[in-house]
Amino acid sequence: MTGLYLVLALVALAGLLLALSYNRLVRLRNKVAEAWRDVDVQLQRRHDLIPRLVEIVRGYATHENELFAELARLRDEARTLHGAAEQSAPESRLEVAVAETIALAESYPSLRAAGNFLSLQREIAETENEIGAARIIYNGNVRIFNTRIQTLPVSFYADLLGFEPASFFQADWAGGTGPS
Amino acid sequence: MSEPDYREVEAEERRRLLGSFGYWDLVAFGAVVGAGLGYLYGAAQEPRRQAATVFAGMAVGALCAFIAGWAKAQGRARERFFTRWAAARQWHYEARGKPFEDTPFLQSGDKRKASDFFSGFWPEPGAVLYQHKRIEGSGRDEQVSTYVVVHFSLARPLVDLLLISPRSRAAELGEMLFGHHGELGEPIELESVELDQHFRIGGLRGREEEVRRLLTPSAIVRLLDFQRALPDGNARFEIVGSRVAFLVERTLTPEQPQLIDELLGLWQPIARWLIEEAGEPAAAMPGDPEEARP
Repeated sequence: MTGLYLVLALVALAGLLLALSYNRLVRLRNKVAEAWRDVDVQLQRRHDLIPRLVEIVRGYATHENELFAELARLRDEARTLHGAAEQSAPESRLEVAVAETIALAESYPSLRAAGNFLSLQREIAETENEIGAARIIYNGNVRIFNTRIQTLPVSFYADLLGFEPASFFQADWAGGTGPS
Repeated sequence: MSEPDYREVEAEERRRLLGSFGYWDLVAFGAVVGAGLGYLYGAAQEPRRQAATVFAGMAVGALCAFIAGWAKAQGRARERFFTRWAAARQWHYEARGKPFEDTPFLQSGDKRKASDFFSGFWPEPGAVLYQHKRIEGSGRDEQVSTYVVVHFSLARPLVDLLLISPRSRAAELGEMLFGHHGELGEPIELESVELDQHFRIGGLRGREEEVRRLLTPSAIVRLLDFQRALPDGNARFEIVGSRVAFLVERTLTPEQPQLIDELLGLWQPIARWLIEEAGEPAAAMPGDPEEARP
């Protein structure tokens, strides 16, 4: 009889530990999702700024239509994709294209001095800064979540409970953003 | 002006002490008082042995006076060194002053003491760095925690209350045992797991959005950078309206004045962020440190 109680107690303890572990995993997964929403908001902000950037720069650099078309194409492509895994590469290309457009604009002294361009440039810099910071937070959360589900003992049952590793949001190019 | 060397200042102060007549007068006076007390003590003993107690009292009295003078010289060396060290940076130093008590943690504790006030660094004027001692209990149960505090005021109130306190077990245990105004702050969870592991965020009930708006991803990354640079600092940040206090559990010593530069270097990106959030240019920081001090 004592043996039965002991087994029941052990089963109850294992069930309790599993429930606690499950709750913690759910919490971590929600944090990853929450951090991704932050990244997404900032990416959306970047997408919204691109038409304004094109409009302002086009008034001065009339013969750079190829770059503007590429920028619009990358923006449209990025907007149709969802999630860190899908968006990493197009967003990195978009980031480079935005940086190139700003560099191009800076080669026109009259544009460089224009008030609306300066305020837009500041807004883009702030957005890139926030994207970089949100990316750091998101990747930090992903690292913690993935480490948790890929290490023992959680790795034994994480898959069964429906927890899969999350994707990092990578900056593909060397000059990737980061908060300044 | 070149940076002073604490050893030189200390040696100079000791030389001055040993060369002063007043000091040897004090030692002699201590010996006389000690001898007198020794005589009285010996007379009260049975059998009487005044000779031994007079000599013992004389030695103890002289030694106490010697040590007291020596300790005073050390204190003077510290003050002189910090004054010169601050002047080399065109800062101002004051050895004594009243502690700030305008944020919950700065108000906490049974007693508070403050020393070593530095001012004149960026953002200037208005920012003060000083050593804050928080004392709990008394007698044998007295617990003293020493913090280096950077305190300044923004041009306009940024948030009614924001408390960012360390989540270390030691700090939590300390607060559980000795209590503090932690209950003032309603816990707020932000999106970063790492931030959550290191800090507890608190704000006024129903004002969560205000805090979330302030703690943007880049602000969170700045806090995490700070935590990584000083993992054992038990850092705290408190904002009450326009008053900002930033505390690190450290002690200021003249042997390691570089701690001040290190802390200011780590703190300034956070201060810059707060100033930008308050929508003011860094040069236009209002308030004189003398006025701001309570």
